Amino acid sequence: MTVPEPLILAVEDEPRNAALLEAILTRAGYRLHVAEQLGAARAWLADGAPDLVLLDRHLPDGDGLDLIPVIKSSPRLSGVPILLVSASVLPQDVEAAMAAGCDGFLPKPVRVKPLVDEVQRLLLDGDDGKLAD
Amino acid sequence: MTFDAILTIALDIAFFAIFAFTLADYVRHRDRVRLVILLVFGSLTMVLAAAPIRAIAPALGPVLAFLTLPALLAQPVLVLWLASYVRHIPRAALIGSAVAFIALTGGVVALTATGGFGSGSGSSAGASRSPVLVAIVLALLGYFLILEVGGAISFALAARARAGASRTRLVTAALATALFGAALVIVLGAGVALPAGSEQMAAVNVVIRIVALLSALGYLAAFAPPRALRKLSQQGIVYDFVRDLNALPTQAEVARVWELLVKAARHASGAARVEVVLDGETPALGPGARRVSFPFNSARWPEGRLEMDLPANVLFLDDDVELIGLLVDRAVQSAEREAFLSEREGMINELQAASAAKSDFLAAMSHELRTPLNAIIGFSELLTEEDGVDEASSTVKSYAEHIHGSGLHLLELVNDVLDLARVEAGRLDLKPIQFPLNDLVRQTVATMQPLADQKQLRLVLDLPDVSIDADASRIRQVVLNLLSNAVKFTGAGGEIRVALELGPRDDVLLTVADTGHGIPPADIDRIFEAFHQADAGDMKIRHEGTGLGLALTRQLVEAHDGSIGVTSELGVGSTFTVRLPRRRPIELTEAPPALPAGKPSVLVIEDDPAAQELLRVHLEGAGYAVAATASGRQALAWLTKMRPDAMILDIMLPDLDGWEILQRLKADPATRSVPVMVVSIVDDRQLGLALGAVDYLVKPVSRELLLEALGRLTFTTKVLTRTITVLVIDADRDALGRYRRALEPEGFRVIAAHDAESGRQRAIDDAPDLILLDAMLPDVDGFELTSELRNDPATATIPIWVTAPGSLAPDLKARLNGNVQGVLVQGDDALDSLRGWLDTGHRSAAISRRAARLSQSGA
Repeated sequence: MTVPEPLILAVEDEPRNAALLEAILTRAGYRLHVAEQLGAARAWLADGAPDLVLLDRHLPDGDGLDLIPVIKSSPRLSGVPILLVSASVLPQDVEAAMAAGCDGFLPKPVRVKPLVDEVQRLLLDGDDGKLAD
Repeated sequence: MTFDAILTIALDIAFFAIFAFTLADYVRHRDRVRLVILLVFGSLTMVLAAAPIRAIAPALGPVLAFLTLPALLAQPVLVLWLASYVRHIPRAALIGSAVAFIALTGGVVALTATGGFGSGSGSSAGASRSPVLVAIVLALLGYFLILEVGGAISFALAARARAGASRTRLVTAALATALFGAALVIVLGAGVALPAGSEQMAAVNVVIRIVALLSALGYLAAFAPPRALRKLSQQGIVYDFVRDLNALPTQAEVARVWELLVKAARHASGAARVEVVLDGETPALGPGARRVSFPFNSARWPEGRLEMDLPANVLFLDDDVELIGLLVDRAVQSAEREAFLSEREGMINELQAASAAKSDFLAAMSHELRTPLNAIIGFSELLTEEDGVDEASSTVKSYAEHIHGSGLHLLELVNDVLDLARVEAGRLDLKPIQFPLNDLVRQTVATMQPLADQKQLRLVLDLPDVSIDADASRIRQVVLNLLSNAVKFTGAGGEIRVALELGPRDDVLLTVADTGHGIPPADIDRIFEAFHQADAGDMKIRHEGTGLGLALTRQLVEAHDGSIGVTSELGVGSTFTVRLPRRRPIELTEAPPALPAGKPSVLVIEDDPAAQELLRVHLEGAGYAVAATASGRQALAWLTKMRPDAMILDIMLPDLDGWEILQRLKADPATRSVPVMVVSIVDDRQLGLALGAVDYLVKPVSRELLLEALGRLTFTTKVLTRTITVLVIDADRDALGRYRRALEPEGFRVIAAHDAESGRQRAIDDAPDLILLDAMLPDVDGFELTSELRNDPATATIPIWVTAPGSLAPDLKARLNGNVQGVLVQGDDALDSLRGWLDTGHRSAAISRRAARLSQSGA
């Protein structure tokens, strides 16, 4: 039985940046679902089961951080690691993201290797969580 | 001579002196109040003068005898009349007293004429006491008692409503009147009760004379007071007023200053109506009042003035006017300061808002730029990782590398912009730790080694062990910036030297020297400005300009209280030198030094050790206790635990500047009222006073000037001060009055001469600090006198101002031949320009000249 490749939900409204994430991560062997808005992400999460969420902040219909309570409050999703990928890089922005419950932060522009490494690290941590279920 | 005789003479002299003074005063002013004063003392003096005159000229005896009685009886009526000028006295009382005066005078005269007194007037009272006589004496007793006590009470009540010198004078007048009444009552009482010529009578006579003498001295102090006495009580009021002004919260509404002024002026004068008018219409005059106006000496409120309605005739008006003038000046100074500070506060708020807006903009811009950069850098990076097999794909790959490199460069710029904005907004929080700087530099150099190797650059290090207290990550940024610039601008095969060295003032010098292109002289001053690129003519170099790196580097160094500089020679290379203090704050002591008690204390803040020592010697020599420090922070720390009587503050200090210290002192209620005197080489008196300094002296400051200025601050202590003397040589006596009014309230002594000869003599005798000379004197013209004064060694150094009715013709000006300080054209602003000259440090010039002269003559 083949283990399906890990599924990543990328919440990113800028199509080029979404395409970049897709290019990097599919090449690294992941499956990617892109949601361009908060609403779309919420809808998809109703029955979607990501192994990791990549989150942008400035979205057409709100702050990406608002998705975090949705994920954390669902018993099914609460163990899914959240990686913030944002161009808001001021120290207070990063602090706010961590306080909101993100598991990691990468500043934009993202570099290929740090992104792949961070995704891998979070997925490994998340696997530990899943094994415990 | 018997004690009794001495007393009598002293009494006569005292009353003659008062009479002479009041006569002169009346002749000078010729108003009704002064006429009444003259009559009061005239009548008394006549009573007292009767005996000596009779001794000299017996022929006048009968006339004097005839006049003495009415004169004596008139005195209490006149006193009451005088009292009516300081306080309302019912008309009925005044008329009643006049009627009583007429009735009593008539009665006594009639009795004397009919021989009702027996053989003579008062002297034989004890021998034959008819019931009529007793009745008359009792009537006189009542008359004197009621009127003198009434007068004394009126003076005393009036004193309560006034302040300053006039209050003191009214109190003294009340006491003198009461004493005089007491003397009269004793005379009459003893005359009735005691036999003439008895021992008791002789003793009573001595008592009477002592009481009368005390009364006379009281009247002297009240109506002919020495100037020093008046000055003293005025200073007390002004001092209290300034303290009230200082106690206002910082940036208080200017209106609060005017409120205090109106209150103080009303208190000082007892005027019913006092108003501050800043512009526009003058308020209507109250009935029966006399309008006195005190224009502000202020550029901010050119029309501003204090208007007050005083009763038409009021005692001691001059004193009040002088005092209120002083209060107005102080209030205007304070109001200007408050207005200035609140404007400044507004400006600071605006600047802060602008700065916050800029930071917000930069944060937003950084965000916006990162979004497209994300795709540029990310995709180009992916492309460079593609495994190229053919030539076409390797071309694509090298293009992608260019895109990627430029993307990273752009990212670096965005990061620098953000950092720079953060430093400029003061949001850069340094986290200083103690660390070995040499290790940090070595590690940083190591990260640059691969790049240097690529260009075959030699890196030469000279890094002795040096530790430093600073923010390590920011210092790393500084080193990295300088190194990457050096690597960027040094051609292949060049050399970069990185060295550390201990500086002279417990600081570290980091130098990064390259053998690169060098920086054109025209650019070297601007190289640390944001967005500047050195133009070396080479497009490639331009393209890879330093951008924001050096601007950021400078900001980071300065945030550490350090400095950065560069020397460069085109084609030879550049050397950047960063100076960083090894320790950040000066180490402060908690407790201020213990000062001897009982001496006025002065806190001196001065960083030049020699200047500090000199101040200490001068001040301690004059009886002050001195605490001194070179650090503004230290001074502020001490001030939480000590309360000096005054402070002397330098402006250029290593840590906080003097302006900031002054501002902090004035912002803290605990230290607000400590008077601060600025002593600095920075000549910005306006700003100093605006920020709340009470005095501003420009270095170098002479000992005399320093002590005099301090004496003004702490005049309640026993420190000697000296007055500046101005000699006015002017034939016009009105002009003299004008100068007196303008200068005396400001603490100058004004002396006068009315012709050239006596002027020259006074200039030699009194050695004034300044001469005001009328160009048109009757005997010798002012020009000639000027050159005479200049040629006489005794007067050669005294500054001279020539006064003239109109502007001087060029030939006349030429005759002055540079011998004078200036020409005052008589008019409204003449005195202002003189005052301005006196204020702007020439006081010090005048005094130091004088001090030099004194020391010469002493040697």
